[in-house]
Amino acid sequence: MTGIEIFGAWLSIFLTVCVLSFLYDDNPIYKLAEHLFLGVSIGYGVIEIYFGVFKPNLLDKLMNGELGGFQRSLSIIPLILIFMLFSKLVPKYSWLARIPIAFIVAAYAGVKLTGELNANLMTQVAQSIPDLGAVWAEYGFWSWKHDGAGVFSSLFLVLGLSACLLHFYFSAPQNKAMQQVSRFGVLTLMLSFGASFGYTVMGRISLAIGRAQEMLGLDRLPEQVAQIHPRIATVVSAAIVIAFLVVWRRRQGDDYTPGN
Amino acid sequence: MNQPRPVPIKLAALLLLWVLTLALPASAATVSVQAPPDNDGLNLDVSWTESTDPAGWGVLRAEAGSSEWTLLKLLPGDAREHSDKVTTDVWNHPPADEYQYKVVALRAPVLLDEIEESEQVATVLAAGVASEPGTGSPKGSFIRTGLKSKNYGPLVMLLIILAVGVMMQKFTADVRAGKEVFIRRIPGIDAIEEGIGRATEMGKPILYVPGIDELQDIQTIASMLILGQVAEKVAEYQSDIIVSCCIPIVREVADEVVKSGFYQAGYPDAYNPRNTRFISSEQFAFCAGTNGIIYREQPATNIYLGRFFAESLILAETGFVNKSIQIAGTAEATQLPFFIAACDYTLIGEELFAVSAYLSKDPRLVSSLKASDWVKLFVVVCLIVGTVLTSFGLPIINNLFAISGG
Repeated sequence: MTGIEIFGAWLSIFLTVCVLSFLYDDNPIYKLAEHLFLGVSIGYGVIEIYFGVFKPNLLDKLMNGELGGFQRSLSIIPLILIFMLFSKLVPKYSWLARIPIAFIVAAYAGVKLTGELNANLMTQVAQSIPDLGAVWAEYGFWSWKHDGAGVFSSLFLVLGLSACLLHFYFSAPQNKAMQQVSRFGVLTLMLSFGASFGYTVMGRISLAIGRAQEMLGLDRLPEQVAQIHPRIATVVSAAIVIAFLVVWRRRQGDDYTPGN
Repeated sequence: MNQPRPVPIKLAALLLLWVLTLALPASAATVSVQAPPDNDGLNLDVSWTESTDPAGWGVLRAEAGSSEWTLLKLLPGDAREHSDKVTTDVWNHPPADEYQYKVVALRAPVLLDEIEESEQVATVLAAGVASEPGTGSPKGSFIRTGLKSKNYGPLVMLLIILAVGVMMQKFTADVRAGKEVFIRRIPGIDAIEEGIGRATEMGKPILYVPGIDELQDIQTIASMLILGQVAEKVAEYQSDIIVSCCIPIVREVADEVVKSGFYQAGYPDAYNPRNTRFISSEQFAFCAGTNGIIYREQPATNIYLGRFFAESLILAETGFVNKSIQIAGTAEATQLPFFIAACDYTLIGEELFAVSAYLSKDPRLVSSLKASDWVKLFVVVCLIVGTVLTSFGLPIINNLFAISGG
């Protein structure tokens, strides 16, 4: 590993400890990590957009001598739209910025109309209509072996989906029957949300485990651990952060209010 | 099912050796291709016969009349069938009408990934091909998928769009003519005004987060419409609103919307452009920055309306710790559980799109809401009738909604 890679690993561990210092309180060392994260992300984003979008899609096409005059002229249109966006900086002409914004919204609305309809309506409906006869032949009423596949699950899908859709029917008052249907729809939604919640919480715990593994050097090869010494990095970082917090707290003296 | 991946150079070597096998004594092996009944027309079942097991089999496909063969799958030597999905993206890669298949016997088993990754392994594969005679009919088998004749999906889609357009025109005309349109009360919407009032009483700002997706996303657009109403109310109450944006263009639009809201309320001087902030385009950097606002500026009310992803729980949890009233709304099903757990009021899915119509009573928005209600009713009828028909062997509704035909 190169020196810069080892430094990067130490910095990563140090910043993780800085962020964890928020568990004590909002403090300058946490703010340092937060602002560093924000600044780096914005800088990275600018470079990424310049080299990934702006340069290949606009600058290179404008500078490319092989392109014909008409194609080149077409590339000027987005350039003009970009300049129009910058007109926000001059209050007198800031209205010009509305043109490219309107262009973006309108163009994407048109482009996405069929895509959204296809993905969120057509395909969903087509795939939510089960063939109960075939399901019965393959899985029966309920199959433990196939994660509960069967006629019961298929019927629950159709009825639950219908009830959910009717729950979101806004333009008519709900009579007693509709209230029951709506309640079943909400119940179905909550069942689904509960399952989703548990699944995602497990994902978050997995992320926390990932950070812990990095700090303990469990996610690297032994030869890398021998060079980086991640556990030493963790202890040193924790010592620096704790020392800083002690000094910072003492300097605040009686003015200190937790949470402010 | 794996999407077929072209492996041109390796495949050329493979094919060259396969061609050499044609010179070998022919065997009784045959390849047959069939479209499974009641399928969407994109799946084809390839099967073949062979008395002895080679080390493995390679299944190749080309469009009828084409010599560009694509290696689809490597199978173990005891395999005699393979189900092939000809495309997984019918829009960008529409299926052909006819396909031809080849099945080749391999001397040594190899993995598909290894062929692509390493020239050396590919050579081993090439050497392994053609060791077994009888690799199937050289001409392959043809099957007509019949996709064109059954592809009603786009037509149905067009009819739905036209029907929604006509309904919107009619409902808009009705509303403009003074006809009362009922919109069911949604608790989360009423809470928005309560939240603004609470912030005003406490002398603290309101934080509005319009999600983290691009401006063209329908949820962001809905959020911008709601922001206009919220900004107007905030201006009327002489309170402050902070808008935290993840996308630069969204920030620009939010700025215009908030400004317009303050103008509408008659308080243009109260508008402060510094309160509409671009934080960062990076998801978690945006989340960290917005958490900083919640923690340090301590808004009394947080409104999260738009498209959210993994940052939803972090934002809502920070707001909860800060004891803010929180109103959230998104159509992102995976994030709704977190908002429900950590916020006081949550607008679920479609409710987000109903908010702007409910608050503004704008004829166009109300008519759009009413038209979408009719579409929901239509879908419910299709689901129930479709299930009954399909279960009796008449998959008419499925076919109508299947874009790929079927």
